[in-house]
Amino acid sequence: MTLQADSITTGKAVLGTRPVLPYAPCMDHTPDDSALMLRYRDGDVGAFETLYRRHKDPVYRYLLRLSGHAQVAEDVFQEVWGKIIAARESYRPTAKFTTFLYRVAHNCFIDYLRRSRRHAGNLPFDPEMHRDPGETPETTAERRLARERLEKALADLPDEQRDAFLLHEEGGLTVDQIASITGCNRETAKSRLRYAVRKLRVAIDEPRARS
Amino acid sequence: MTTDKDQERVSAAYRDLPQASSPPALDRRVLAAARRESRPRYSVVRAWIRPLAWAATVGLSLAILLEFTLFNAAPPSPEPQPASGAPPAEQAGRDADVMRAKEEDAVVRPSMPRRAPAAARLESREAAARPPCDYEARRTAESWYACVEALRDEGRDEDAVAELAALREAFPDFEIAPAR
Repeated sequence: MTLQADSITTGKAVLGTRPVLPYAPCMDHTPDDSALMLRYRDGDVGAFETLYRRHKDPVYRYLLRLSGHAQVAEDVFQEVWGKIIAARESYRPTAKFTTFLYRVAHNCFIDYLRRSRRHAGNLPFDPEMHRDPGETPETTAERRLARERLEKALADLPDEQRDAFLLHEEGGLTVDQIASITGCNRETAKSRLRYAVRKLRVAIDEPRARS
Repeated sequence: MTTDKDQERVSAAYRDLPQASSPPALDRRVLAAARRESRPRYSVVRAWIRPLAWAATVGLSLAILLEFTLFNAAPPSPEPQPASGAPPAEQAGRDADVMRAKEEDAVVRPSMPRRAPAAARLESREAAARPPCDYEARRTAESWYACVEALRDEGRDEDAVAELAALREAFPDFEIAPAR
């Protein structure tokens, strides 16, 4: 196997460079997120609705998987959007809107942890989080088990690694943006992401390794 | 070590997880907050600020322009009628006096009404310089003499004497009636 120390930041499909994610299809649509935010600042509520519908699900999933608890995710989610709404007057499109949005989400979650003095890992397991609306009885057991393994591995990741991974997967953020949001340097962010991917890959490959 | 392939596999597996969405009730709460917090009135004011500023600027400029053009181009106030028979040099001197008096009034007391004291003084001086018996009175010896009599009655004896001398000079044949 070829060693690729910089594989996270180089190549077409590597970490931090993928431009559009199928499950986060909202990043590069027109009108621009910043333009929508400016229009909302000028009183256009419809612009905010567009912006909200574009980003609500990725942000919700980021918080849900970060906290591991639906109620916590909802509380922090509402707080995040409340802050976005409140920041409309002072908003300046100096950076990408998603960076701004996920910075607020990250900080709100950190504040929540400080307030509640509870660690995300200590939160009770929420079965609702694992429910798939499209799940049918025909879903294969192996696939279900694979999901469960991945979810468990994701929940078992250290907070910083899980945060970096979710910012990348849900927000489509680059290593530099993740470093900026989490307040660490680029190498640290890249390392966290790399370790997270490695652990998750091991979890996915577990049955194959056993066999 | 991680490879591109690892990353792709992990991403694919992650995408295969249930894709949770924010609850509709939560969406309604957030959107209601967004509507509540937006201030369309402010945006209306903001939208009108610039046109109003332009309109005010244009209006003010027009007002200043009109002030300068209309008031400066206003016809000069009518000059006092020249005295009959006044020589051109005397008339020119009088005009100069009038101009000087007007300037004096404008400079010293700009807020005073048009008939400032200096102009009034000049007019009284002109009246004094004017012959007591005007052209109409001097047309015939009788009317001129009647004017002299009127001057005497008013107590303006000096004027009466001067007018009588002028009458005698103009009408040497005129016989003055005996004193009444």
